[in-house]
Amino acid sequence: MKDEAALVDKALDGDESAFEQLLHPYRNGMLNIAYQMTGNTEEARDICQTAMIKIFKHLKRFRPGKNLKNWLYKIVKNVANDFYRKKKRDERLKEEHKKMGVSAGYSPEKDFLNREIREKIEACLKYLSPREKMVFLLRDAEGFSIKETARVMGSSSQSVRTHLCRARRKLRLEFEKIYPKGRWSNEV
Amino acid sequence: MKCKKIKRLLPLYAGNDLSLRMASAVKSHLSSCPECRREYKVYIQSLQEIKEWLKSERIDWDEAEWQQSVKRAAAGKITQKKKLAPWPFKPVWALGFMTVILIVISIFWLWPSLFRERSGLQPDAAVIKQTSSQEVVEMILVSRETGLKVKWFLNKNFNLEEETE
Repeated sequence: MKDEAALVDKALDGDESAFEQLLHPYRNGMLNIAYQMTGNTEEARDICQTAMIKIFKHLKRFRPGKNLKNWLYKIVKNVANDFYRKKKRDERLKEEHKKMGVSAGYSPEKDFLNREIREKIEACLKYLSPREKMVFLLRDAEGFSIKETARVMGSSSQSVRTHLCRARRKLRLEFEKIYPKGRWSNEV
Repeated sequence: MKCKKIKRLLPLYAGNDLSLRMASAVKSHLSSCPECRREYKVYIQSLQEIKEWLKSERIDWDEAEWQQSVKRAAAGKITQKKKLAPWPFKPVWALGFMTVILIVISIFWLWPSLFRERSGLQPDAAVIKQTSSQEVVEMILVSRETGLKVKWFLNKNFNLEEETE
């Protein structure tokens, strides 16, 4: 904690390596949250880049003694939400252009590491609302506690439990669609 | 607990997100209900498998790319702390402090008029005024219930000379 405070002070004085050390333990976690929200590595990197710029710009707002991890993830979450909203708007515009017979001239690059798994994940996650998705990813993919997730989401623990419950229920239903029901009955 | 309620709690129980008391209630129900047990196993397996998928899909920063991103982020301007007139407390505290000051000033400002009002005739009070000649004393009595004022005029021997309402 003391190290973090010292690194924050150094970063505020413009020390680039202190800033790098501050983010280093959380860099892959932040990237993966963004990746699972978008399903695209390029977009995930863009989100992280924007989030890092914001983090650096507003570093003085961070109060020593608070949880840095929660603060960083909160910024990534906000940037990812903005990105999601913008993407939705762009998709709507693209649809309208298509209806009008205009070629959009844009096809997002699908750089999936494992197409089969990626498709399964997308099939499961697509029915979750952005909030449910974020709560699920923080709790089940990144291993945050309910309290930490609540702090990142800016909501109560009860609200997090409700969203988590909904997300897991939806995921289970989608999962059963991927694997027929018979698979379970034999194992119980 | 009934199956309906247990089924509502199963998604949280599958991820160890229930309180100890609730978790033990669910556990004891599961030991006696095969239908709920089957549901629970589906939750556990789906959750485990999705976690595995997410794990296998994890991506890492390329070192060069990471350094470049840090450089780009650190090139931005930090909104510096103001050097002059620092305020070590939260802005809300400043607002509260100002409100208190305003209330105190307004009380002081209003005080003379309040004072004047207080100095007015109080119910159930008796005021004695003496005329300059010292020969007649005027005494006013006010009733608290009705607000009725009675004036007595007494001479220098304290004999009642006149009474008015």
